Amino acid sequence: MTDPLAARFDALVEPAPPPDWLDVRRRARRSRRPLLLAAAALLLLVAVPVAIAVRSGALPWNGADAAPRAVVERFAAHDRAFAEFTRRQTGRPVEFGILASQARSFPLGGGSVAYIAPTRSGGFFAFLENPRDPFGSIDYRFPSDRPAPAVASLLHGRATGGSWVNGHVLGPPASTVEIVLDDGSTLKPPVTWIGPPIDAGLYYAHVAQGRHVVAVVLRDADGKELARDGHLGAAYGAMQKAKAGALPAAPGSGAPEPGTMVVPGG
Amino acid sequence: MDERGRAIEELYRRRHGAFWNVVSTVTRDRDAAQDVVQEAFARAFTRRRQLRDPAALEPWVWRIALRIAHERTGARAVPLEDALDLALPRPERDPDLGAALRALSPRRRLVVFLRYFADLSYGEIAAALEVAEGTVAATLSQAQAELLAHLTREEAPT
Repeated sequence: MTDPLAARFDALVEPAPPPDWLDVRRRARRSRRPLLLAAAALLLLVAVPVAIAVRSGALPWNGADAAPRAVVERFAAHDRAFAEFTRRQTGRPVEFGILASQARSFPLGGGSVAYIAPTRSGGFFAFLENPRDPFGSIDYRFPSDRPAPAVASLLHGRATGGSWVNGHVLGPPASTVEIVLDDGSTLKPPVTWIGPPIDAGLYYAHVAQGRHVVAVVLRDADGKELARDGHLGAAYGAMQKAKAGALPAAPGSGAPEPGTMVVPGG
Repeated sequence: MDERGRAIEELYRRRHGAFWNVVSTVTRDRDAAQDVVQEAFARAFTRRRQLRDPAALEPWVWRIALRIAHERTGARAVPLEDALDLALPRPERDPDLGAALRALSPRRRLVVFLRYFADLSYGEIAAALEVAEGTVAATLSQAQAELLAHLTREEAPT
């Protein structure tokens, strides 16, 4: 007797992407790596009491918690909204290609969390949430941005006033970020490093109302300046022209307006 | 590579498509499904010495794959078989079947997908879900009856 359902399901079977056993082996090696590294680090600490400072705090991608479903949906909604926005603006939809279902959570300290999703093209998309502004800011990287040492985005602090500056660092290990304000003072936000495949450090800082950022500076471990992003003055001007009510919506919360995100130099 | 490693590689090459199709019903995203399958086999390879019965390799990998897919949904507190929200990745290709499947309980849907998309035997499904083979037979029988009843209703001429 034939099963009437079998043929129906057979017709729905999709051709799978090609198998990639080498990728499986690479992943298997990576999953063993933290244990091996921990053992090696322990040996070093016992036998050679030297400081281990270079990216010792990088958070492993594989060990991170999956992002909550609501965040996954926000990523997906944001991708759709951006495609629609670019279609309206240019006639050609541009997608980030966010792999929303792969999003993971990383604590950044101070109660803030970064939700990061890789993109199909090898970049990533990060979405910061902090307790002071329910939906902080957005950060993204396309593969072509890889040589850039730092990219910052700038958003109004909707609940706190002032502004949020955030971005990522692709610079050498132990590089630090310095945010220079218009009164000459500087902020030195901590950089949270995320391991492969993201390979970037995330930073964010809150700038008090009335103060402006004039530059974001990337320095190496010895304090030597590696790069300077000075586009923020213009970005502040653009932001001030925007009405408070037209601030960027959190992805998925209503109608996102990705065009209101200011990405200096982006 | 040891014997178990070779067995996992052979299983991967032979059954990759079946794993991908079933996992797609959980993730509903082709890339995410591929990532889950790759991760599942990587974990299986890493932990291959923990497998007590080498004959039960495939159900064991299914368990790992479904667990990872489950983790990615973020609903960890609910038992696996009751939580996986499976659906046809492209329901528009057979809307009636898609609707009939949605009417099934998650547990029944999972058994149906493992049977029809992965072509697993009752014994393999039982091992993958860690339930008795009789439970699988009963669940599948009830699911088939429910699906056919739903489809008959939907497709009856009006």
